Amino acid sequence: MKHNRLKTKSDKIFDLTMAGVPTAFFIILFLLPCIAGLFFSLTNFGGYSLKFDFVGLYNYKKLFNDAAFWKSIVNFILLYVGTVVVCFPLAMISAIALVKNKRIRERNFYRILFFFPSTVPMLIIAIMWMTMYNPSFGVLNTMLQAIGLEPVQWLADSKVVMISVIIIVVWRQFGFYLVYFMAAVSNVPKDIYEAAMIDGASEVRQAFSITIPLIWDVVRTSMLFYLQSALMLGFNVIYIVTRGGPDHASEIISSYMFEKMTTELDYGLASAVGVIMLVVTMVMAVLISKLMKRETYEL
Amino acid sequence: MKKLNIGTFFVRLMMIIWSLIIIIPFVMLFLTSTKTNQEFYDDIWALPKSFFSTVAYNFSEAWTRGNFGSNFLNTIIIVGGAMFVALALSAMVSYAIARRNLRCSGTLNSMYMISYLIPCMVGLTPMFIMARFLGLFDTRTIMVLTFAARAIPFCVMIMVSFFKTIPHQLEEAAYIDGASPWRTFAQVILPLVRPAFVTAGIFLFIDYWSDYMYGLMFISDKAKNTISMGMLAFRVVSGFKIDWGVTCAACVIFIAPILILYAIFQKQIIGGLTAGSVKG
Amino acid sequence: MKKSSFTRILSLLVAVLMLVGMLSGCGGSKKTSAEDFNVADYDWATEAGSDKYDGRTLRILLTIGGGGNYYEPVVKRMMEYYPGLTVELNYTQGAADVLRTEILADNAPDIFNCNAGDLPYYDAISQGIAAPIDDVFDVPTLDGTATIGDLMDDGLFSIGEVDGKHYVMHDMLYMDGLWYDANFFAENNLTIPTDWASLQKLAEECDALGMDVLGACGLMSHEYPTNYWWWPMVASTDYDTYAALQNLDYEAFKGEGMQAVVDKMLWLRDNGYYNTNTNGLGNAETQMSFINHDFALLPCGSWLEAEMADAWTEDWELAYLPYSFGDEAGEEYMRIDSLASMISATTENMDLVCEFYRFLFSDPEALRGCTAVHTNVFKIPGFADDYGDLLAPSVKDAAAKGENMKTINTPAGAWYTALNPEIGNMIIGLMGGDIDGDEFMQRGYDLFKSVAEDEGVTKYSFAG
Repeated sequence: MKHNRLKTKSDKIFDLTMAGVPTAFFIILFLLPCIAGLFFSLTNFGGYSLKFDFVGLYNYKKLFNDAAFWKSIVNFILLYVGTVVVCFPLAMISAIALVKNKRIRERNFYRILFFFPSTVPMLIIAIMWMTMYNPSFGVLNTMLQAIGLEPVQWLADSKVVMISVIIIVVWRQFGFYLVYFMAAVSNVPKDIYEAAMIDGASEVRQAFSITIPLIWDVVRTSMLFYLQSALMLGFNVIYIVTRGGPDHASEIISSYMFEKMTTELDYGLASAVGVIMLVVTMVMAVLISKLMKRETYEL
Repeated sequence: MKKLNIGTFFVRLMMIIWSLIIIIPFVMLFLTSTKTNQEFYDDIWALPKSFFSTVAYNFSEAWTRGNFGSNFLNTIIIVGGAMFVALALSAMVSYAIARRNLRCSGTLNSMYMISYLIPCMVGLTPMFIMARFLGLFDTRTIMVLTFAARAIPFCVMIMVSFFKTIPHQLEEAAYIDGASPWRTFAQVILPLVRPAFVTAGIFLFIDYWSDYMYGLMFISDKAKNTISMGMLAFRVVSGFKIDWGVTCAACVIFIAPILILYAIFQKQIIGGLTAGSVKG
Repeated sequence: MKKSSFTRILSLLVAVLMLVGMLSGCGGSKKTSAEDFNVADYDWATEAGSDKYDGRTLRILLTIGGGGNYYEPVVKRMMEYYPGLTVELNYTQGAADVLRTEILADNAPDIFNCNAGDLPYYDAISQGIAAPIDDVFDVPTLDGTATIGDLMDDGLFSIGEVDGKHYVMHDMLYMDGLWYDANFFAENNLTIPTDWASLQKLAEECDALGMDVLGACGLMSHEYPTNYWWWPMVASTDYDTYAALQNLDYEAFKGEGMQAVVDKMLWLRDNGYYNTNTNGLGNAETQMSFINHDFALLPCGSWLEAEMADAWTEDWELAYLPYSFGDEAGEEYMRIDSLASMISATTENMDLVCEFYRFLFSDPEALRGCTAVHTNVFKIPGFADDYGDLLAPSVKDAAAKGENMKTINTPAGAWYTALNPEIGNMIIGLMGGDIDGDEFMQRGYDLFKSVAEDEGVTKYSFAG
């Protein structure tokens, strides 16, 4: 930054207000309550009355002894990786194809249509998909049977249920990332391609050696953002559509937390889950930004 | 040339298939909202037998059961207020972080980054205790304030990258013209980052529109309920007899405003995203 | 320099918030008038149009559930007697959430009736939000011939009993068990099972018809398969195992009795007689699948007929099976459940609360109104004769069959909140083919052991 001129008093007041007022607001109304909530993990707080005792690390001990808890962490990673692996490459390829292929004039139509699901509340999406997945009258099984295939137990089969959850999340998010990546692709300067064209690089080669490296930063950031979305989207789907079942097969860490909070009224334990959830997401965030780091090019 | 045609065909085919996959669930939703329960169970694909009377029944039943009338108004007040507060505060702090060369801007930025990962469920009870202490329990004000606070990390993450793209020369020029930093911020900088407001605003709108957890915590007066709290009356899992027609009608009412807004603003919405991804 | 001013502001904010937390935490202990209340101090004589309670308000919270708004007729009757009294009846979805907010806001309703699944009784008791109901038992009935306590059946009140005090008012009873379509059985000449052997026969007959014999409800597995099928099956198969498990005797999960139970489950599963589709369905969807004759027997409570009111087709005749997969010689057990209310620990209207229950249990007109709404059973003397005509046919059927059966109420599920959710998961896991019999027994053993050895959990004992 070249912005080094001396700051006057009014500048300082300005800085203090600009940074201080929102930060104070945020800390009072969000951060401190959350930290206080994390402290509940050391108590046997039950949610209804403010009489509770400190129990030390009791909740954590209980948590680590619960196989379902570990399963919920594994399932969350599975959900995250599963959706990312399906959604991101497809969205990237489709984005490049739609932007680069000038013959597809109706690309704007796709863009508008595909993006729409990500504006619809999860509650509605969950209800819609619940009817789609229904084993006897659901759209999916009626279609499968119409073409002579065996019906699938979308939500009752523990081997399929996570896939069903991933399908819902991909269905909602694909268009979002498509639009996002399309924007990034069209921002790549044209002259880079012209140079490549002179060198005789094929379109596929251009995509891999120019477009993808140049939009990689965008992809990486969206993967980080998606971490939090996966927690919330996954929770909303699972809470309504599967309740973590059958037998914890679709339990993810946020639905596990909510289950402890509501069915078992164990706020202390749920707060402990919250702490672990924070740790897990942070570790994942660090890993993602490390693993996904590539040589990026300044535009 | 021929190769390209095959490619185009393939891309188009894929896009059309995906379009169908997107459209079918919505078609089912709209179709079901026009049918009686019995018609739904008989054949989910069939068209309703008596369209108008069923639609009239389903939608009026959904409207009263979900108490949409007064809930709509509350939701608009709460969502509007929270969006305004969240966007205004986030713009301020993002500008400070991105452009004001503060010593603590790195700390602030990472504080917001980490906060983005905190599940807001854990803070609900302490927030409630605070709301009660401030005398704001069961008011729309506390909904606006807590909603706004929750959204700040997200907005900051979006806006900081926007502010960073603005050329420094603009501020320098304003400074040389003798404009105060306030003026520079309000009249020079803010108009330039309008796309950031649109992008962040849309996500906030969707988020607030469908959130009921805060509502359950802070509101006990039925007259102050939000529309998503009303939707809980249709919660499928713990519901009783599922009235698919009425439930789907409620869903249609619930997403209608979003659909309309999306139809009107789709250019800005997608344009906002476009601008947002200029650089990370 | 700037940094230090920030630090200062931050630490100030932290201090303020800590203070806020401490102050509001300290405000928790409020004098309850439920403690000072004495029935003998009040004049219980009453008449229609009395001005006794003018200007007072009674607040009641009732969850939207299978019972319907069965308090409304009671409130109506109270208003006839006491026109000056205000009764705020909040009949709402998710009452447990509403209650939590109102309690934390020091604005608890005087009486609350949440679903036991949403607010487990013993959690409410241990958190100190409920007052003992024992005083209500001493209140004279409306006609003055007896007390409320004389009317109530003792059996169920062991649920909600802590240190000799009762905290849960079991308003109305549900009979749990298996339900079937009597017409369908007659039409297809299906065996109505009376023991395990005849159930096996029925399973084969159903299989020949292309349907399953049993389904559950996977999304609410802690309730439907667990309470309405599995626990009664354990009791009917081997009562000692059932009793031992109520006392958290985890060895019982590896005993012969449990092996017999698991063998029955495995027989159903391995022959394909269990409807695995229902493992992924919610309760209403499961019930629709049942109405659709996808499977023959549905584990549920006697609210079923009312809950699915307009979903039954013409040819349906819902009937109750007083049978829980026991052996021929053994005793059959019927699980009884209740829709229950509690009195708020902070109520200052104990006299009004007593009046409410007095109308609910002893005013014939209120009783008629209530029964017409929820079409279920009040456990008061002569109920079947006086109000039987108002019951749903299937409920009447169940009540009649239940006359000769022993009742159980699986208190362990109420005492230890962690048990039923995990048992439900295990059942779904076993029936879905994800775990085998040994794994099921090992997991049950571990579960009961972990609760038994958990020092943070208050233990209760089951007498049998």
